[in-house]
Amino acid sequence: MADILDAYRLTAQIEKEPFIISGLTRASMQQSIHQTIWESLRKRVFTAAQLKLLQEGLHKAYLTDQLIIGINTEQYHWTINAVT
Amino acid sequence: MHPLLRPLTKFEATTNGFRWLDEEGVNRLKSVLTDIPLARALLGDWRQARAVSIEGLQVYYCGGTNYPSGAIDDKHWKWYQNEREAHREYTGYLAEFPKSKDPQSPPEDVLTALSIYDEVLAEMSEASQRPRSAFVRETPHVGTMVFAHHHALVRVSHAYRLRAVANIHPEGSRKDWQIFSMHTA
Repeated sequence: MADILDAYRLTAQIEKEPFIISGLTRASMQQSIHQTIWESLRKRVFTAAQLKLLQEGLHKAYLTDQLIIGINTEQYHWTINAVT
Repeated sequence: MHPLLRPLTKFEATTNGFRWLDEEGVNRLKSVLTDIPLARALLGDWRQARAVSIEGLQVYYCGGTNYPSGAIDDKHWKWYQNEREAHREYTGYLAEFPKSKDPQSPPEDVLTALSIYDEVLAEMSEASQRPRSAFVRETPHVGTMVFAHHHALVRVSHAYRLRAVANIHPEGSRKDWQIFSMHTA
């Protein structure tokens, strides 16, 4: 569980980066976490408190906002480049 | 800032691409993070209900101590060897994983091998708990830097995945869960 929480915190390091690739990298890192959670659920090793903690973590694992910002940033960048 | 990733923010543009200013730090990063297998056959895929292959990882990390005992067939053994050789050719590094002298179960062997990353993961864990921890861009070469630290972060997340999965295996040490229980008690 400590590893899962550490990995979640790691994904948050690039949450503010306004690039599409940052969102995709974060998605890839989250897949790693989801794999661990899935295997842990299969083996029923979580307690109720741990499941609640995970639920809170999964609520924060929301990528759409970051990807929208990434798309807008890159659109802006290419528009500026095209004009100048 | 993660001390491990800090060298990736320091480089200069030259007429022949870019040059790392802290080559020692970058080399340390390469030496500890390059040899994590990225193959889905080993890492599993929860979307297709495929678990991490602990037996496959044991063979990968322990140099086939069980081969040819049936844990892995000849075709896959060659594939793992090629995978490691590809890592070595691409990065110039091939980690020497610690091995136990006594026979161990697959999760125990994997945990022993992954102990090579303990220092790195502890460093990352400590740094990520700082309230203002973030990857700071210090140079105008944003594109190059972004890819460099993304690559490292993905590898670290794979290391976390493998260690956590090996720990929850019935024969694993369950150290991870014991530490968590102590924190939440």
